[in-house]
Amino acid sequence: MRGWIHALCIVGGIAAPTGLTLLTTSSGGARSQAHYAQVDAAAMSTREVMMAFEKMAFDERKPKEAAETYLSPDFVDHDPNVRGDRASVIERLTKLDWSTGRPQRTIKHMIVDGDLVAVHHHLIRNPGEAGIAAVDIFRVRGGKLVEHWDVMQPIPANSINPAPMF
Amino acid sequence: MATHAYPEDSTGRSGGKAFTIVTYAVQFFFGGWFLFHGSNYFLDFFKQPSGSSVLAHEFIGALIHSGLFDVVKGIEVVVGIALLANRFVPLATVAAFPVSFSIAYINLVANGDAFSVVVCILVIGFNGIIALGHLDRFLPMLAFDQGDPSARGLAVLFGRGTSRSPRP
Repeated sequence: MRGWIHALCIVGGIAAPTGLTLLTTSSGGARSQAHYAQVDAAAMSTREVMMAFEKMAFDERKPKEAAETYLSPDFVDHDPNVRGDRASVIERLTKLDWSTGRPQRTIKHMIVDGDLVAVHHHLIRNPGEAGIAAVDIFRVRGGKLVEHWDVMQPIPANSINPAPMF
Repeated sequence: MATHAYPEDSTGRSGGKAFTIVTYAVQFFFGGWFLFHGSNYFLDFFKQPSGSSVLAHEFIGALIHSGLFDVVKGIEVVVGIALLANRFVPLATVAAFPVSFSIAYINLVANGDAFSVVVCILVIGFNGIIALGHLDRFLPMLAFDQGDPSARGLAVLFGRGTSRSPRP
């Protein structure tokens, strides 16, 4: 093979797959950033999904975005205070006044068993109140929260038990 | 099989010109592909994909954490350079096969979408076409009765014998 032909082949050999890679990884390509982000999300562990939701909703004070990102479209909530679908949860979360630093949620324990995660936490909905000892249980599938149960126990002003609730 | 005679062209190799051109085109594309993706792992000039499915993500993650991905990507770089330099092509073709097979397998089994099936076919097809272009180099490996092992290959390697000398 002649030198200049070889040089052209090298340039073409590098340019062609590089161009194809750039094309397939562009926004409209089969391997776009959105595609890989979707895979990364689906590959998250149960704990990682729970913590990501927690971080966005409570730490970053973005409950609507967190719900839209991490709640599955067919999300089912067993809380009797909402209709139970994804939209009703988003509606309930956005109705709260998040500007006061409340609701505040402090996680005390987190137990993961397969696709289930139980979060034992101290929830304060309004400034000045003692709050609630709560356990939220979520089922996680494909990087999304798909089901939710919760049990709540208001913290009494006076307790006969010398051990604190947390 | 190893004693088969081949019709030869002016370069001393068998086959038509069109096949030679196609094989060269595939060789340089494949070399560029391997060099691009292999060197990207070490130089990180393009966002490294972490797998196109959860299983692929976990598989690649395990390769990375075990350090085996360094070896795989190292092979890709060396193979890519060899194919682009048009040197040691038969050796590079053989070295590329385990990597190509792994890429094809993970695309077909772990991903399974249309794009992945195309990648699977292309990577095996390209590697196969280059191998076919140098099949005469591999035919001796197809000997059914290979005879006893000997130091003849070492002698040839170090210039003390001839590859054409018959096995005893």
